[in-house]
Amino acid sequence: MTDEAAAPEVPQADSKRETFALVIAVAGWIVPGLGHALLKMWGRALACFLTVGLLVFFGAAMRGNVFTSNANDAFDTLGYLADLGAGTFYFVARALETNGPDVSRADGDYGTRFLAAAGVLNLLAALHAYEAARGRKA
Amino acid sequence: MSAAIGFSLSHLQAMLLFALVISIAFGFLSRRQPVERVKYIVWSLFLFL
Repeated sequence: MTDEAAAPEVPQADSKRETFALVIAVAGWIVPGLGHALLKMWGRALACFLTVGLLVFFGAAMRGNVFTSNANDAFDTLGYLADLGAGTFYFVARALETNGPDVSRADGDYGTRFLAAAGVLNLLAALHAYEAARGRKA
Repeated sequence: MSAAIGFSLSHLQAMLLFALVISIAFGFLSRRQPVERVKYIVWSLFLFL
């Protein structure tokens, strides 16, 4: 018969590592590549920074739609969440788009996809950094 | 720098750019060794296209 009252204790080291991993994930989300940089994964850090940066730059330059919190429907909300995934680069995209979005042309539509892809890619990279910080094989 | 510089890409150019950038990111995130990364980037790009 097992003793159910004796719950397994979480080692202190594991708790610290989990907190550290969360900090890495948030850092990676705020600044693309920073999570990997803090883990000294320089190649991945540079790749994340450049790929997310390129997608944001081209997306904004093609006058894609940078969604705001004033969503009209669920799709706008999803677009906003995807765009926010780029962290600070979301605000870079907004700053770059001085003329505002123009989705009446195909370019603007492609730009919208580029911006959303940048956000989702950065979230994926942040998740990867989180798993790496937890000690999972990465 | 502003978006006023304006980019106008065709569908093919936009697709190629998107596929290349995402493939590079996937390659760096999922593989460790440089040769493995290059192989994965090329394979991923091929699948995208």
